[in-house]
Amino acid sequence: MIHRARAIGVLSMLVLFTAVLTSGCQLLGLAQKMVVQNIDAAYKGLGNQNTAVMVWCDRAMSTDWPKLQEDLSRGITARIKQAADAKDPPKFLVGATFALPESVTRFQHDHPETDTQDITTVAPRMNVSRLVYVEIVKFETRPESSLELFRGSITANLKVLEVSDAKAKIVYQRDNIELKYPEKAPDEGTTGLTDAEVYEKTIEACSTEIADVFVPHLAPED
Amino acid sequence: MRSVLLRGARCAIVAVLLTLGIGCNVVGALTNKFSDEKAPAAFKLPKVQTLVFVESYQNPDLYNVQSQQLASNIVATLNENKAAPMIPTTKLDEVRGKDTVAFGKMDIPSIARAVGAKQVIYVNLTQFRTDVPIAGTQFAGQAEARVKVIDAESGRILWPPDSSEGREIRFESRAEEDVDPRNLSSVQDQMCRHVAARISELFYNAIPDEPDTSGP
Repeated sequence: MIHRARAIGVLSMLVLFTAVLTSGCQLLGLAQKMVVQNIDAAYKGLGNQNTAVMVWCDRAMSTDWPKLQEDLSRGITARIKQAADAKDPPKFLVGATFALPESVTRFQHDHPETDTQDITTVAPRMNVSRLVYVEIVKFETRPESSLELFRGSITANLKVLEVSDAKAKIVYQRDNIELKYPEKAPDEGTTGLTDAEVYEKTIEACSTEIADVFVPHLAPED
Repeated sequence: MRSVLLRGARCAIVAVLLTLGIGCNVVGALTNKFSDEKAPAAFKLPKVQTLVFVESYQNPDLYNVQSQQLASNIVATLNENKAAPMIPTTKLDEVRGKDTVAFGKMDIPSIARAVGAKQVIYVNLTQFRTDVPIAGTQFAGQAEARVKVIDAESGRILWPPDSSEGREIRFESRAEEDVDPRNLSSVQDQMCRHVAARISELFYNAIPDEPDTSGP
């Protein structure tokens, strides 16, 4: 009788163990998902300020990608503006207004001399109180090593300038922001994509990454 | 009798434990298999009067017939799915018909305002080719378009935010039951149908048109 009870006990343990094995980490995974990780904005000074987003890239890049500056500027502006215009925006974004990306690009075209000037001397001429300045160091939709394949990559430096009394100072800086699309593709690139798709998605990734500096956001999923 | 009951209860507990352990994998798999999963709209159109304008920007006369067919198909699909109030394509034809030369000089926001639209789904049909391969007898077609939404008041791009040229849409003709590959209009119809479906589904929660696996 005792042997039988013990056998049933062992059997129950085995069944329970199997049940736990088959369930994997679903419950743990679910619990982890329910705990949403919020990442706060790194720079909170856009509230009640007029902001422009300016993108600089060298001549070779703008010859290859004539709309690169405008597209990245629009992407960043649209994402920050979306957060500022939301029903319940973060306090530090209340009253933020934005210069049209098209106007900023126009300013750059009308003033080619700004290309070689220090940005702290250019910012006071733009009639804004905050300038988000992005320097694109590298942009490509196909890796140099394999031009038949596709993989977008962008490297950018970010500076935020505060302008007051006709003087600008850099208050936030982040260098070498590197993003790739597709994120997990091999370095030599992949097939089945097009330049247009890679271009748009790479800029989308970069816009989101930079906009996240100014907007609280969820931690990226692993 | 009591031991039988106990054994039954034990079995039930084990069964519950096993079911819990497996989770909803089976149910999930079945649901995936049999449900029509809808992809979210890439852009939810503001609910204002919307014009669908299809043309080949570089050469507006090049794909005139295909452009009109595409526009009709897109308007019909978006109306059916209540994406936004759509301007009938006949209104655009009226404006175009009044003075073709003047129409050619109008920019997109002006055309939109002329038909009473607040926004435009602008489709630049960059390619719509149907060829018979050398020594072949069947038509093969390729279509490419760039799609963007433009605000009629300001002329600014509402969507996509990251590409001034617009979202790229591509389609290559393929074997389908109701398509006769030896018949040019049948292949062109197929291309129009699929391109229109892929463009329309950007703007409502839709079951995606089968992705093109032919590669670039």
